[in-house]
Amino acid sequence: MPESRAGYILMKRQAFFLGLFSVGAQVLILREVLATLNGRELFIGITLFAWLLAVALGSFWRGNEKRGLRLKTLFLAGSLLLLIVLLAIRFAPQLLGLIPGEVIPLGKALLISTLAIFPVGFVSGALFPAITAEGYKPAAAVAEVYLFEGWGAFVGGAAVTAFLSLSVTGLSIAIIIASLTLTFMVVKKLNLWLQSAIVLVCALFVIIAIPELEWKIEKIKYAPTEVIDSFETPYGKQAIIRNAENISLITDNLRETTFPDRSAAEYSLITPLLYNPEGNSFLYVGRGDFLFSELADSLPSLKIVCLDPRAKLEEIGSQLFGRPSNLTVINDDPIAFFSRRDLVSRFDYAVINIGETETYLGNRLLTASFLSQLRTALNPKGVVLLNTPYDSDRHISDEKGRALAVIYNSIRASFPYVTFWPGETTLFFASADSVINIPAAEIIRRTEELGFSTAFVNRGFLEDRLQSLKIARLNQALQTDNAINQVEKPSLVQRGAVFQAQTERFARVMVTILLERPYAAILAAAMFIVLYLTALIRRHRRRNFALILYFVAGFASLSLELVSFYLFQSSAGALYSDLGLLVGVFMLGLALGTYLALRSASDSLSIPSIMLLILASGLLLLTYDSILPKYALYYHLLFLFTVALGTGSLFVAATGRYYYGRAHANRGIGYGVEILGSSVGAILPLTVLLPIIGVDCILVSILSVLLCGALGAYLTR
Amino acid sequence: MKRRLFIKSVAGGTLATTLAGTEFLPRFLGGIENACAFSFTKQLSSKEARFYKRLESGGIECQICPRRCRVTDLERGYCGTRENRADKYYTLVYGFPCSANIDPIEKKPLFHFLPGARAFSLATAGCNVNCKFCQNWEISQMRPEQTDNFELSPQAAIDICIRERVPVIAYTYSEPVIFYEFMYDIAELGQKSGIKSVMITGGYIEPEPLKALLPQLDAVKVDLKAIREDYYRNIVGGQLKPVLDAIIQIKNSGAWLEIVYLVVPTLNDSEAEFRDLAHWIKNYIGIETPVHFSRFHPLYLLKNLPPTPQTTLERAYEICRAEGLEYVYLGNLPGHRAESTYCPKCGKILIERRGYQILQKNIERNLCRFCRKVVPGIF
Repeated sequence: MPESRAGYILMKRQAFFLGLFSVGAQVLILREVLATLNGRELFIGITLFAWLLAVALGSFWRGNEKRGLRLKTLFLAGSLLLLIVLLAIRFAPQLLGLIPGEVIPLGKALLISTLAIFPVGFVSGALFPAITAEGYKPAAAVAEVYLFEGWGAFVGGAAVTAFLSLSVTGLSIAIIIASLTLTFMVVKKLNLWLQSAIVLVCALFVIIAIPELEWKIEKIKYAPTEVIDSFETPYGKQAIIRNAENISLITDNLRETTFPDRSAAEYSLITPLLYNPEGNSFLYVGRGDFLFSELADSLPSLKIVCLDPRAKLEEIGSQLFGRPSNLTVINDDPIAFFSRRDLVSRFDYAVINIGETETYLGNRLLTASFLSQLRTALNPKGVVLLNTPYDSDRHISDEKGRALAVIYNSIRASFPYVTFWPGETTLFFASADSVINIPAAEIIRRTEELGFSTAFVNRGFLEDRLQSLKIARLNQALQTDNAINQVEKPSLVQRGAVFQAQTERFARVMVTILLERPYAAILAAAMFIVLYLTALIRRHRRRNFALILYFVAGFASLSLELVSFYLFQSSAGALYSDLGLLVGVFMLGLALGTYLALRSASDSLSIPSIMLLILASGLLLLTYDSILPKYALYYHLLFLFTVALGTGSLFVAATGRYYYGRAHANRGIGYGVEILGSSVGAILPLTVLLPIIGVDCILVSILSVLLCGALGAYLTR
Repeated sequence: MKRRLFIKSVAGGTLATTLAGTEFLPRFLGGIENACAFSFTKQLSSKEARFYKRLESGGIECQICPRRCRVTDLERGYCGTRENRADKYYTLVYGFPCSANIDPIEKKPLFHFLPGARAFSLATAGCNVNCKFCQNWEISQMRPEQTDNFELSPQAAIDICIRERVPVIAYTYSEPVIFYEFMYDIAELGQKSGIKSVMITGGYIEPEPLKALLPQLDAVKVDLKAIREDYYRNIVGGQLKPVLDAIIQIKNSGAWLEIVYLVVPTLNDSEAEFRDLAHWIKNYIGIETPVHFSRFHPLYLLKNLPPTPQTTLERAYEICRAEGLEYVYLGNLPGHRAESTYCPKCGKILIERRGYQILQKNIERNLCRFCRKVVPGIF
C-alpha cells in the first residue's frame, strides 16, 4: 500500500476510474466496431482478442518502464483517443472508399478494428502498472488496484448498460466517460462538488446536444438515401432509411428487411397456406410488420402474430405502414417467448426468417431444441416455413450445400415431414403431419385456388422454381453434411461462416485456419504445456508458477463467462437486454473475491480458488442442459458470481506468490499475463472450438486447464 | 519438369484420387435428369486456347478480352480459367461446366427471341470482371478447382438439347467470354443440328474474337451495367468503352441483340444516366433494340443496399420511351404493363407476359397481327 493514507485513497480512486474507463471504453468500442463493420462471431472473437492483447502489452510495457508516462498523461490520452477512435470507426467505411451498403471485407474490417482498438487498449493496460507504481508493497498494490478496478468496472458496466437501455447514444456515453475521467483524474485538484457539477453539466449537455450531431453523422453515412430515424436499442443500432417508396430497416449496418418487397412477403405469407389451406393463425418470427403490412389485408381471415423484441420498431412501423387489423406485434425475444408461455397447439403456421447464419444470435432459432419447442406450439397439421438467404436456383457450391444440409438435418431432427423449395431463397417446410407431402404440380395448381392475385407465388414462376432438376440438385446438396445444429454444438455457425468467407480471399484463408483446421487451438495448447512444464522445473518454481496461475485465472474466467453468455442466449433469452446484469454480477463477484482474498490471512489461496472454479465448471457441465428456461437467468448469475469469486481470489493468490518481496518487479506483468489468458479465452473456446467440438468438450478442456493449475500449485506450494 | 509443375501435378493427382472416391452420381427424376447423370469432378481441361500471342520477352498476352493479361509460365489470367504452360495458353474449363439448367428464355431475359422457348443454360467457373452485385459470384469469382464441375462435351450438350426438345443453348450465369472455345464449339455444332445459341454476356470482349464468334450465335444479350466510365471502374472492375464497342459490333453483325441495364439504387439510377443511355442506344444501335431495366436484389458485396424501387424503374421506362425507344421492359415486376410487348405503331399488345409465362401472342411472321408493322426479333 502507499505509505500515506492520502496516497492510498488516491490509488483507490485511480484504480476505480481505471475500471470505469476500461470497461466503458471496451464496451463502446466493441459495440461501434460490431455495428459499423458488420461484426460476426469470428470477427467478435478476433476483435476481443485484439483488445485484450493490447491491454496485456500496455501492461507489460508500462510495468517495465521505470519512468514511464505519467498517470495523468495516460488518462488524458485514453480519454481523447476514445472519442477519436469512435468517430474514426463510424467513418471507416467512407475512409476506406466503400459504397454505402457495401459489405466490408473481413480483412479490412479486422485491420480497422485492430488499429482502432489497439491505442485505447494499450493505454488502458498501461494504466494498471502505472497506478500500482504508487504503492510501496508491490503484492498489496497490485491486488488492491485489481480490487478497486473491479469495483470501477462494475459501476462502469452498470452505468453503460443503464444509459444504453435509455437509448443514450454510444458517442454521448463516451463523452460522459471522457469528461468524468478528465475531470477527476487529469484536471488539477478541484473541490469535489465542483468536479461533480462540471461532470453533470457535461452529461446534460451531451445527452441533449450529441444526438443532433449523431443525426448529422447518420445522414452523411447513408447519403444520398434519406434517413427517417436512427437510434440504438439494447439489441443493436437501428436505422430506417428511405429511397423513393422503399423503406429499409438497417440493423448494425446490415439491411434486415425492405418494404415493399412483394416477393419476400408472398413467399413468407402465402407458401405455407398452400400446404394447409384450412388454417388461420400465423406466427412470424421477425419484423413482419415491416414486411407484409400491405399483403396482410389480402388475407383478412388470417390472424398474424409477429414476434420481435424491439418495441421501438413497433411504434415506428405502425406510423410508417399502418397496422392491418389482423396483424399483432408481440415485443419479446423468441426464445424467451417460447420458454415462458404455454403455447401448446396455438398456431397453424410459423415462419422463421433465418437471416445471417454465421452468428450465434441468428443460429439459436435453428437449433433442434428450439424447433422442437416450435413444434409443440403448432396444431397437428401446422406448417413451419424456414426462409433461408441461400440461393439454390442455378448452382450450389460445396460450402453453401453444407450449410443447407445442416439446416435440413436440424429440421428433420424435430419434424417427421420436411420438404424444400430451391430458388433465390431456399425454403424449408416442415410439419408433424404429412400435409406437406404434396408434389410440385399440386402446389402449383393450388396457387390458382387462392382466391386473389399473386405476383410471384403462381404458375408463372413456380414452374421454373420447382423444376425436378433443381429439386434433385438441392436434394443432392442436402446429403453433403450430416451434422445437426444444436445448442451444445452450433455447427451451422461454422458452415455459415465458411460460406460467407468465400466472398473474399483473406476471409477464406482466415476461416480455414481458425474454423476448419484449428491450428490456433493446437498451437495454444502446445505453448501452454511447454510454459507449464518450464515453470515447474526451473528455479524459483513457486514464483514462476504464479504466472501460470495468472494465465489460468484469465483464461478460465473469460472462457467460462463467454460460454455462460452463449448458453443463456441460446436457451433462455436475449443476451443484449440482460447483458448488463450478467456482466455486473460478474464484476461484483470479481471485486468481492479479490476483497475477501486480500482480507484473508491465508497465503495459500491458489488451490482453494482453483477448486472453486473447478466446482463451478463441473456443475455447469453436468447441469446446463437441465435448467428450466425460466430459471436460466438466476442460474447463470449464480454461476458467473461463483466464477468471478474464484478468479478474484486466484488473482490475489498469484500476486502474493509473484510479488512477495520483489519491490522492483514489473508490476504490469501479472496483470498482463492474466489479460493474455483472457485474450486466449476470448477467441479459442467460443469462436474457434465451439462449432467444432461443442460445449461439453470445451468445458472439459477448461476443467483440464484448471486441474493442471491446481496440480502445479500443489507441486510448487 | 519444373518444380512448381511437379508439385502441382502431385498435389492435383492426390486431390483427384481422393475426390474420385467421393464422386456422387445423382439420378434425377424425369426429364433432363434421365438424359444425363452428372459426375462431379475436379479435373481441368487442357485444350489450347484461342486468341493469344507469345511475347518476345517470354510469356504470353491473352487477347480474348480488353484486360489483355500478360501471363508468365504456369500463371493464369485474371479470369482464372486460362493458364500459360511453356508459353502455350490453355483453357482449363473446356468441356467442364459447373452449372447447367433449363430456363425459360424470358429469364435471361430475351423477349424478342423465341418467346416461350426453353434454353439449356450452361456456365463454367470464372469471369473477367468482378461486379459487386454479381448474382453468380459463387462460380464467377472462383477458379475451376473451387467449383463442382462435370464433364460435358460439346456434342453431349447438343444431344441433351435434342433429346429434351430444347431449341436453344444459352451461355450464361458467369461470363461466356472466358469459356470462349467451349461456347464456340457447341454453337458451331448446334448450328448444324438446328439448335440456336444465345450468349448472355457483359460484353467485355475484344473485337477479333467477337467477330469470329458472332456467326455462330443467333442472339446476344449484353449486360450494359452503366453508361459511366467510373461505375465500370469502381463497381464492375472493367471499362465501359470496350463494352459499347462490342454492342455496336454485335448490332452490325446481324445477330439479334437485347440490352439489359441493372438499376442499382444510388449508384446508376439517376435520370441523367437513363437519358444518356437512351441517347446512346438511339444514336448507335437503334430505337428498335429492346432494352430491359432490371431490378437490383441485394447480393454478394452489395447485400446491404436496398432493392430498386419500382418508381425508379418506371422513371427509367418513361425516360426511354420519351426518347423514342420502342421496346422498353421492366424486369422483376410481374403484372406490370412493361413486362409485355406492345406494337409501337398501333399500341396493341403483341406478347402478354406474366413472370415467365406467355399468356398471349399476337405476332405472325414478325408482323403485328393488328396493323402488320414489322416487329424485330426472332419469333
